[in-house]
Amino acid sequence: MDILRTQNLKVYFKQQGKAIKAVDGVDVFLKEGLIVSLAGESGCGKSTLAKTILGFNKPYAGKVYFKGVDITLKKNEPVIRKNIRIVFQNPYLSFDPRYTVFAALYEALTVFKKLSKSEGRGLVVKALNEVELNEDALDRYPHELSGGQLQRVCIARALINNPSLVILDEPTSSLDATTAYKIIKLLKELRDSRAMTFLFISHNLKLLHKISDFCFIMYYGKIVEYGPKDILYANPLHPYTKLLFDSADYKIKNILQAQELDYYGCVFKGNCQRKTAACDNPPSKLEAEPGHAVFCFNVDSR
Amino acid sequence: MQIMKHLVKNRLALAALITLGLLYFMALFAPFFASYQYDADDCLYSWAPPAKIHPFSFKDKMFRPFVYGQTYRINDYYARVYREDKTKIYPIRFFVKNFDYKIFGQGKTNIHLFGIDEGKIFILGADLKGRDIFSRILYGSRISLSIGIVGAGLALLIGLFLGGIAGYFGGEIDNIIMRFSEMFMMAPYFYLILALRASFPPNLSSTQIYLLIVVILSILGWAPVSRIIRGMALSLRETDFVYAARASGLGDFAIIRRHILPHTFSYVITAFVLDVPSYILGESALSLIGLGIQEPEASLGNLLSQAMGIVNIRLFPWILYPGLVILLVTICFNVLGSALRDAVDPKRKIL
Repeated sequence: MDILRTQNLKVYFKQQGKAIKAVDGVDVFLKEGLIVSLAGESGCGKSTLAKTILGFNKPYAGKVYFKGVDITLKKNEPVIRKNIRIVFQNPYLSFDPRYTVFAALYEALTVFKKLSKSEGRGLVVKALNEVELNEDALDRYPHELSGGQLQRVCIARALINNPSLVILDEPTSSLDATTAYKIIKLLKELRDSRAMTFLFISHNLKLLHKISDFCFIMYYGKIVEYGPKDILYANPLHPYTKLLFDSADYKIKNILQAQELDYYGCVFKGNCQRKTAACDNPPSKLEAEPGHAVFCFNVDSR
Repeated sequence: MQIMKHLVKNRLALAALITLGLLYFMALFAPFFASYQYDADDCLYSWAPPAKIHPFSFKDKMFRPFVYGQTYRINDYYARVYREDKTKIYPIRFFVKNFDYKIFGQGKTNIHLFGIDEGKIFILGADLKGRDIFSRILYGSRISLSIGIVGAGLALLIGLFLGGIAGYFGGEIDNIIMRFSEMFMMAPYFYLILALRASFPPNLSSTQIYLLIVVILSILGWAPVSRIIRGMALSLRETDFVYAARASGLGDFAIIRRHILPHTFSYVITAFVLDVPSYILGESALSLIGLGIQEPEASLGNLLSQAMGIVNIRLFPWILYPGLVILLVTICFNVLGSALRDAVDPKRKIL
């Protein structure tokens, strides 16, 4: 069952009188208990999508359903707060520098239930142990911990009230490779031990290959391709997906040009090698294999 | 702690801090330092000049500070001319017994810092009714100095509350609060004080007037504070840690209280110190023109109201001493405020 589903979600921003279509008609669905990844280049609307799911941005149109409940409605905000958590890219920015690790976690812990400091301490230590940190970190200030440690604390804070969905917004981008690897390992263990759903947002395709079960590829506010990881990585169909894979291997042939976006037709047509007249129309979904869909007119038949 | 270190390094600021501490301490224990009660008048000493304190005298065989008694004669213009009466010698004693008073409402005592056994000593002179200006300054600074703190504190509280709400929620709420604050900022300050004061009856008790002045001044003073707090809150609410707090389900007001307002602290402490003098001056201005603290109650402002005529200043320049206190307090607060501003400025910490 889909734990979260967006339906034709549109988030527009006004900038200098023009509408910036950060998210433009996105349908994503998150299967329960999987690590779902959302990939795409910087500025394609990944983080905006995450913030919209969390209710920080008001969608222009469309719906977000969490277990069938429409969470774009103001009255359903408690559902978001109870069930969805987020981990940000930079751990140093996601903690208030004025409070210790314990204070930050205790604050998150006591939002829904009242707990005394001593009761809370036990639970906070448990949460820290789960992310492989020990009690020493408890009374430290965020700046006294390393990036990797602090990101673990961040994950601990996200998990502390047993949410059903955790959004990870590039959680390893500001960490070095070995630390990032440890975090990834931790997340995988958590998925297996707690049956949680993760939405992993990243631009790092190799990383996503390691961790995710299901992939969405996003380009300029639109989903261009999605499918189970193995199928998608073995057989990318959309020209943009192919380009993304090539650039991950530093095999890029043509650099993307800045382009005037045509929000009506295919967003990628300006840079597409195989553009045809049909690309001026909105691309329709083409189900290449079961569960693997692509929004393109000119898909290679294998 | 960092701030304190900076202040200690800055000698001028340290001096200002010590001076202010001393002034507030003296105001707090005004009856102990005062020679007489603020309303103790004596027609024999109308416009008596400041006492000349003599360290010692071989001729009078007096080897400790003392004053001579004062007598006066009426000159051709029917004005009193005081001179020292060398036959009367009053040694200045410390911890003398005089009028009764209570400290913090309990413990009756009558010990005063200094005084003389007979006669009267006016170290800063006396006013028209023969009241000791020094004592009146002490009692008056109780009112004036505390109005500065209370008024600036109240204005900051209002400013923090409304500015925090406006900045955090944004949109319509922000718009309403900011337009509202502009209403207070666009009218000329002093006329607004007068208009607000005029909307209340003139014959209030001194406590009521005190509260009224505090409220009037802070109603007029919160607007600039709230605008700056709002600006800070606007940028703070876009930080990841506020998003993280929101995502973990913390309520809006808890976020404002825990994650937004504490970050404005360095501004608030500086603004507070820099704002206090304007409240002291506001009170003084109101009392000076007779709309504030009423006689016989003393405040630095209404003490100065006797100095409104040029004749009084020409003949009795000692009635300007309350102005000197206001000047001193204002300078000290400003020195301290700018030192604080430097101390909390993160760019200077690198140096």
